[in-house]
Amino acid sequence: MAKKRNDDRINRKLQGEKPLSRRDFVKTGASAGVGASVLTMSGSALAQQSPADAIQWDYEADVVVIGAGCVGLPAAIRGRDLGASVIVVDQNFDCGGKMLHSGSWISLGGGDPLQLRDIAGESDKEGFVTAPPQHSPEELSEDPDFLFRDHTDWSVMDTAAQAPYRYNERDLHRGYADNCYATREFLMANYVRMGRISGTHGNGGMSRARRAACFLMEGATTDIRAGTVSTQDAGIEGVSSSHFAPRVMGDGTDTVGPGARTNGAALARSLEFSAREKGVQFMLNRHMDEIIREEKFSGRVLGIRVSYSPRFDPETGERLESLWQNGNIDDRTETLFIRARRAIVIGSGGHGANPEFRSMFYAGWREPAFVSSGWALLGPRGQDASGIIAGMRIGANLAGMQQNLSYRSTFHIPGTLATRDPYTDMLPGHPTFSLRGSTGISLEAESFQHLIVVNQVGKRFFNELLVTERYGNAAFPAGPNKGQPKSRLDHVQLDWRNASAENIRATYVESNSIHAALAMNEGSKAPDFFSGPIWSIFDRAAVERDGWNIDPPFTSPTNGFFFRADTIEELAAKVYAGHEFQRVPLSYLSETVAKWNSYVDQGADPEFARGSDAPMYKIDTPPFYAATLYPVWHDSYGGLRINGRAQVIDMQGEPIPGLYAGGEASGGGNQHGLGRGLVHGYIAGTNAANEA
Amino acid sequence: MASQSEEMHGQQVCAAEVSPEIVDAGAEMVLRAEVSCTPPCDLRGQSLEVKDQTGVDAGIIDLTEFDGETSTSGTLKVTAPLETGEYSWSTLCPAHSMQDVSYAQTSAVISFTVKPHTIRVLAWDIPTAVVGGEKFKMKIGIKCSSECRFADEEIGIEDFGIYSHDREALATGKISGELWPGTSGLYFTEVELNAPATAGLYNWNVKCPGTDGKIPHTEGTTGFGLRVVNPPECLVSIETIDKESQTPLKDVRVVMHPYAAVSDEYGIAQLRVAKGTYRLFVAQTSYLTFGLPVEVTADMNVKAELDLEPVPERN
Repeated sequence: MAKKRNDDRINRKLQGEKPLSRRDFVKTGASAGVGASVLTMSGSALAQQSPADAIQWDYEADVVVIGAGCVGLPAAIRGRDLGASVIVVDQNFDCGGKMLHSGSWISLGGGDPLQLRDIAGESDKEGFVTAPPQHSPEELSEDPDFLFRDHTDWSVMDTAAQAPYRYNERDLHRGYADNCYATREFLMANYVRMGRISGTHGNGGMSRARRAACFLMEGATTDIRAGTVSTQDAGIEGVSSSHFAPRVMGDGTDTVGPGARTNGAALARSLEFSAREKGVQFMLNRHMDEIIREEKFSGRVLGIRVSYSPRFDPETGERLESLWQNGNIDDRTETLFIRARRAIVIGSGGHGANPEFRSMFYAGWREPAFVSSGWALLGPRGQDASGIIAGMRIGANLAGMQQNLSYRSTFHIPGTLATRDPYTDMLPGHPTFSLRGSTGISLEAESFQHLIVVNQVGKRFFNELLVTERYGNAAFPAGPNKGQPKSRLDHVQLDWRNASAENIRATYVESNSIHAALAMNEGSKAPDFFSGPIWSIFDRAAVERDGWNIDPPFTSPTNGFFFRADTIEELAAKVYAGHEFQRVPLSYLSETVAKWNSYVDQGADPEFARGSDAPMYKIDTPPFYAATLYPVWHDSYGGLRINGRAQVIDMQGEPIPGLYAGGEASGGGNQHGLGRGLVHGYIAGTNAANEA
Repeated sequence: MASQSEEMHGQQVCAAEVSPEIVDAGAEMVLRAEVSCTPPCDLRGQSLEVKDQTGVDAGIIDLTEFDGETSTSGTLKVTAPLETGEYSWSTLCPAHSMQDVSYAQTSAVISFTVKPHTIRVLAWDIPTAVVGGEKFKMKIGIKCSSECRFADEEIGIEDFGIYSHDREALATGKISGELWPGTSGLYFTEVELNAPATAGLYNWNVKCPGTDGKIPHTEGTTGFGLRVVNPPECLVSIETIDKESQTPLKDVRVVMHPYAAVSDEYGIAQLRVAKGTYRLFVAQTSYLTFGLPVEVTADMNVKAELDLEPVPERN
């Protein structure tokens, strides 16, 4: 079991004495959490800050895992299965990471147990799955070699003319393909229940169906062992979420059967339950600030330095607490050092919330207004690239940074207004709801005919009906709408025709609204060359015409993301006064609305070609509304270079002894979603526990 | 104890701010002040006098917070003068002594501009197509930037006028005392007007005159487009159904610019239009918009089968 060091010191602290300061000489420095300063520091400052031989460890375990999400939880459970003591640290107050609010779709493959089950037409061992298989046996049949070829297929182009598989690291994906079977089996052995295979996740391969969602059956109580979730915990559509499930769990009838509820809560809570049951220890509210290595850029990794990172309810002032506490170590000391006797696994997520880091390949993403998905759920220190930066500090290489540009959900404009985190639709009931204040108004693309979208100075910049469109999801069942000439079983791996200019001409469609939204505009002033927030502008008639619910909790009158006014001029003034990222006045808003209304009179929009695709409606009926339409960075690609054993690789191409990583903290793979992180976690946990 | 001759002389600096800096005549302003002393002194409980530009007392601000260096006040709400122009008021921090340090009186200037109230005029509920020479109704709304009740006699603004594109006076109306629902200060009136006889797109204006009275208001104006059409010649009936279930759809929006209608419980919408070429749109929440070029030469029927919008693939 994990052992806490320095018991004497802790005991004295509990008795009220001021603890001896054993680490006054260790300068903690600026946290990498917000990322603003680290990459601008000098080279020497980037290196390890805590001299290894001077550290007094507060805790120790065989395996130390950073992050309690889709990499960290499997790694931790796997470590326990192999007899290792495990401590998991997470900057957040609860387990689950982004996995907790995901759709729970897991694409694995290579002939994994779920594919075999569906080929045989069998149900799960508990008999919950009563829906029939969604695919023919042929569409499910494959082996690891086939999967590996799919994941490294140079020829596949998506509809944005990106090549999502061409640049995938070979060794990494060989390890992935070889471990998909074991990972699926592992999940099933740890309370994770999955429905029928249905399609394949983005960039998860073109040739076979591999994806299944996780579920629990709605019942009287929430009982992970029994596979049930209460109605309250599953959430009530349009009414409430819960601490168990930050997003309302969906209807799983189609892929499981009546009574099934699906989403990431079914996966994350099941894994967490198993981890706690098996004796994994958790230090939540702990942000990893530094990975400590024997020497600056050589030797084994020894442990980590962590800082206390609690979050508080803004209304009550109470510290936010995890759903379950068994196995928690609640040490509130500001700084702690945790020794890893065998290995460290980095599962701290990606860099989508770090403006400096994420702008590495796209300067427009330096705009601080736009956050990563799960901003309220994970807090300001989630997705902060801290795991990647900590690895870089001790000599790790990076991989796959350019792959941020080749998946459609990496960054995009969701059709959800009036919330800072438009990717998710959390309702009241989860402890973090008060931090976001509004669920958001979710609109489908066609509903955008009822409004206009303006930039930070109040000018339109794109055809509103195309603002939320996204393309480029290259996955089974393939076909022209995914960028390939053939679909399903007719798709041919490694075929030059997939990448022919003819095919690209026939299938190319690029969604450019996000680029227009991120473009600097005249409101941008030195040194803050930012694009600024974008706003949807509409009137009362639009609300009534299309049946929108603009009342709380879908909007908030106080969080600065939704405004109402009697006139357009007042609306502009309220936005300028009330939105924290509105750095300049919406000087052109009145003129823009008047111009738009004149276009409606004329029946044509000479600026952005509205009127050719849908009716146009004036914006003239008071009251008037402004709701944010924020771009979001959902998942990041590119991070620490890892090999097929999930070992972190340094600049010389050598593994850093004892250091593992996976999921969004790693790079070299363009597969979207949970499958990547879960397999990496399984591999990392296995190898970490087996380190000598 | 130090003798008078040994008393130190400190410095105190007073700063003040007003919000808004440009304020409607007679509207509320909020004043705040702070005082910093060298050496620092806690002035909580001290009161600062506020004087207007003629030296007359305008209020008292109390210092209520101290952060170790600066004493800050709460807020003082005052009423802006009714006369427009530039103003400079002042706050006075009196002389005082504390811990053998004396501080001389100091003051800060509060500058602000008083402006006339702004009138905003809105026009809505204008029919998308009006047959030449026929009557139509629309709504006019008037709002004051300080939400003045126009019905009050002291405001002195009662009427508005509607003018053609070449400034011909077309109609007048009275501002009602009725607020438009969902607004806090928008008074609306429904007016009935005559459309011009000739088809075309007209740009008319609504003007609400200002006043230099007791509470000055600027003139407000807005423009709106009026589409006048020829008398209808043909009846276009559109049947709207759900493509999958083949059931009629109610409340579907049908647009053949500039004509518009909504389907009834049988899924039928009817448009009486002039002959010509149009683009027909049929739109309903959760459905893909149906679009079709249509040439109308006689009465006609159109069937519009609507597909549900595909459920977006969740990640």
